[in-house]
Amino acid sequence: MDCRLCEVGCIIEHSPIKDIIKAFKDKPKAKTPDSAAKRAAAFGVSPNRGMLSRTIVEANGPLQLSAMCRHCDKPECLHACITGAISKKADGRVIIDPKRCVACWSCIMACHWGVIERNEGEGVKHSHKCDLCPDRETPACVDICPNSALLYEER
Amino acid sequence: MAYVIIGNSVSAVACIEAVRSRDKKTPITVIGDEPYYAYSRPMIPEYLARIESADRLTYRPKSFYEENGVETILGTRVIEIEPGKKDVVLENKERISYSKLLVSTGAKSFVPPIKGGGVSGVFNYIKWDDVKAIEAYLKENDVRRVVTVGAGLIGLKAAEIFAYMGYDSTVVELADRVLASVLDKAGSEIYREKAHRCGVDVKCGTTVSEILSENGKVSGVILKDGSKIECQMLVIAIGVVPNTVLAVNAKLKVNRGVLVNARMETGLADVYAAGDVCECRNLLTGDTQAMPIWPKAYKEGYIAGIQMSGGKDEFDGIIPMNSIEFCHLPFITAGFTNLKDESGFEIMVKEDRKNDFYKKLILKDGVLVGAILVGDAVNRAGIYTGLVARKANVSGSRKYLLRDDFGFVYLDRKYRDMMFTENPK
Amino acid sequence: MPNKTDYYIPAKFFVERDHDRCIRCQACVRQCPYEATFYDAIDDKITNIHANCVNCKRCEFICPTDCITVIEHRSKFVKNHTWPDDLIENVYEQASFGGIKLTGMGCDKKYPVYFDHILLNASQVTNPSIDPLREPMELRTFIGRKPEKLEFDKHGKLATKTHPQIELATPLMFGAMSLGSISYNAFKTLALAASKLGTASNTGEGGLHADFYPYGKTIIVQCASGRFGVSAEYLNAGAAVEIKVGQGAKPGIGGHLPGEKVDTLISTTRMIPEGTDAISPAPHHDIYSIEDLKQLIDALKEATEFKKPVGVKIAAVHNVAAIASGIVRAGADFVTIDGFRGGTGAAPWQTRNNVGIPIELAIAQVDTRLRDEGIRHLASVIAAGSIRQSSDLMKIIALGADAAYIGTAALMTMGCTLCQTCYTGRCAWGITTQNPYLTKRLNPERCSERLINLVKAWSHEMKEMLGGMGLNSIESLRGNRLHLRGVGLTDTDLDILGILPAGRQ
Repeated sequence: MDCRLCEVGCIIEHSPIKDIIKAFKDKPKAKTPDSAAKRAAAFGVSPNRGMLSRTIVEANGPLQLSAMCRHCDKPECLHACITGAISKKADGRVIIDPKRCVACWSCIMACHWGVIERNEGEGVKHSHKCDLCPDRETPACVDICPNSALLYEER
Repeated sequence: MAYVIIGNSVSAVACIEAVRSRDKKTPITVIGDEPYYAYSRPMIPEYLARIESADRLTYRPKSFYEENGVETILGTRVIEIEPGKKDVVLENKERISYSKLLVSTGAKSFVPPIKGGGVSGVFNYIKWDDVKAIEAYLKENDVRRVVTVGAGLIGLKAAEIFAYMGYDSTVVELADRVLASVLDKAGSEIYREKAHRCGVDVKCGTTVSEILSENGKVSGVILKDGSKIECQMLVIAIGVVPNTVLAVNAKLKVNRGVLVNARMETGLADVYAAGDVCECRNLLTGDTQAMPIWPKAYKEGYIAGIQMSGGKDEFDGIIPMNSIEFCHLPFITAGFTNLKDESGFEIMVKEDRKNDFYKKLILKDGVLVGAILVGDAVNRAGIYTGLVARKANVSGSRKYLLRDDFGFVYLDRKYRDMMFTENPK
Repeated sequence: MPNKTDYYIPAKFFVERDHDRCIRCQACVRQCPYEATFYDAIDDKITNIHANCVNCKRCEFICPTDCITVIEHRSKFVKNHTWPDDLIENVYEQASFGGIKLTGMGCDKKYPVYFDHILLNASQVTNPSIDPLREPMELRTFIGRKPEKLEFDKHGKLATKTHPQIELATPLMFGAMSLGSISYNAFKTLALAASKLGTASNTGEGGLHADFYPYGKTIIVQCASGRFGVSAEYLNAGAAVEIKVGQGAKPGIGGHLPGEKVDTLISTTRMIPEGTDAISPAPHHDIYSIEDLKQLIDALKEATEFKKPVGVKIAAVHNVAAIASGIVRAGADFVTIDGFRGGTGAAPWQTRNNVGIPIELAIAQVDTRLRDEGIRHLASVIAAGSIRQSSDLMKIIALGADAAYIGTAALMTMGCTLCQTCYTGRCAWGITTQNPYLTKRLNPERCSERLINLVKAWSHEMKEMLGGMGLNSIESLRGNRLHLRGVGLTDTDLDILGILPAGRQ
């Protein structure tokens, strides 16, 4: 329903101290727009203090959708990755290792759901997507959604 | 029982991963003519420029082969396949038996004969060893200018890197524009301009007709129009062709590349082919053609591996697609992007040249058939790739296609439901 | 530019924000439909136009850091008991606009709430209490005409022909709220919950949307003065038919659905043009006497092949007892009495706050009158009008009702905070609006669960209270005034209610 709390939940979960206030503490404004600022400009929403959530909320009037990685059985991104930075773990999660990513953006080209984004900022340049919250039983976005719009199921 | 793979790049790795998902026991032997574990060829320019280390070029490290029980014979060529005996013969005359064989010998540089050739200082730009040779030559010789032949995906990158490294850099292209195989006129113009700003001298509509040398080393080139450029190194980056000599000799069906069916079978019992060496179906045109792109190599290798280990999987084909950055400006293309004649197609363009933004969508009969996305237009590019690959009819979403926030909420319900409620592929 | 008017009305509410805790996620900005919340990109701050805030509390609800507190605005007129702030503002506004001031929900003025002056009994020593966890408690209620006496044949089987009934698992139903005054999702919540609970919901004046016909067995269909959506299929789709003559929130006038809330969905269901105000006429223009009413009742019974109870809903007004008597004699199988505190989607403010009588007094009088005339068994009596808790329900049943409708309480399970701006069609909870951006917020699966929880909780409480009284069936409480005592009431009140004062044996 366009509340975008899924983005907030995702950011909290992926912040160093998983506390909502500290995660969003005033960040110094970057000299050039970083990925979060650019996404905010394109979608007309909050830049979330420069943090890029791993889910993308689309909105077209009353139609909204929170899109994140489907952790496909046959991941297009993994097929396209030229450095082997993307792998499928035993529990099924498809993970990007930012240390191995060379920012060629082939995964962005390949993902039919468009749920991989460039994460570019000060000293940061790699691909970025949902990692299914490895430290949680249910992903943060599913837990925080007030309207049961996100379902977490085995398929 | 043994799986043997000729070639040690993308398809080989995918084949190993596929086989090992079904069969953990049967030995796998990989024979690669390069002395390296699988690495990323697209990264060799960054290696040359010392932007990335050797470790960062790794596609799969040594541990991958060890953990998957794969015997590697590296730095050795296979000189013959003997399907009768089900053997492959190495250049040291050693024979390896196979029960299932994958031919994934990849592609090799296309080097036309040029008058004055055969001298030192002329290099290919495909393999790691090519740039290592370049590195050595640069160290030993006083090179001031490098001329690169070919301003395609490989050539333009090579020229950019030489400029980055501080050399005078010229690139010579036969077509009337750079990146002519993947971009349209406007896209090419953006990158010609960028290349120029990055210190590359771009010469289109011409080619090298003669190589000049002194003391057996390159000293310059003469172009088609007769003009002369002094240079101390020449890099040939015109293109690649499938490396089919083994396949041809083994009497496999070969066109430009090896021909296989949807199950990657070559027609010869227990012999499969995958990757740059073979052809596949272009989903857009229906034609069978060589398609030397990374995802195709991986998918084919994987399907070959599934088939080889007794499973069932098929490859329907793929659309052309590319993702690369030149002079810090990324672009992604999918589908038809360099149409000679755009009549009959519906073209949509959104651009902001000042901010290096260019987005072009090509439709036919309401179906998206091509996308050129430059700069920030690469955001969520894969959505367009998916629409092209799935031949989705987007006529109802025309006025939304160019939006910066384009997404599934602007597409019809059927597509959205299919993508989000059905099982992922 | 700031708007300069001829008058000054201080904002009613103030949106207090702890800026240290605010993370600028802007969820509150997007969730506020009243244009009271904005994001200032230049200063990176959330700002408010306090005058537009209606205290719906949606922003407080959605804020992930709980940094918002909506409070009453500190600026008030000089304290004046005769001229409270809202009366001052009303004069200013009417001077400017010359129109009728609208409002939503039920009367909020300080009239006595008789429920809060009535106490229930409990058993001690004599007539011991019953433990509801050990003994069965019967809450089942049947709405419809009951026979005068029961006769059995020689095999012990019932010989008396009975009239059609609705069976309710508990004496609590969901009040008439039309699709139009509330959203599709809200209507669906009521239909789903009623179906799962084995009770009933009510279509209100807005007709029955095709999607809800499958729930018809637990829906009472209303035939109101505008006859919106009334057709033969409609009448037969429901469990019973209720002729709506009046409504507690606005006795004497018809329903009012502002044009802003009439979109394609509503237009199709009600069979009226989009964007037009749907104003039901005050009377049914074919009912000008009690005989006319009887004719309509008979016609509806015929149209539904005598298979469904047909009843009449009236507002609780001064001579409600006499009217109810007439209605029962006209053949109604049930009479719904809607007290003056009942809610509405839109009503004139003056009417809502000043017209009608309390349901407690109305039910007591209707029940007494019907019993005195020996016709109490001919129709069930249903009460409505701010039944707020299970004890209210117990009390109204003891005063004579067979069952009660809840409206406001049902909406509250969907998030309603009683901000009283339903008529604007901008309900931030997606309840009383047709705006799809807003109605999306109401998830029928989640909300029907909540509504079911509420009814189950009240039913359980009722069982406890019944057991406490030594009763094991709600039937034993029905009209049983001796189980009630009044506190702080005048003799007249007690007389009208028909109950003894507390302390009197």
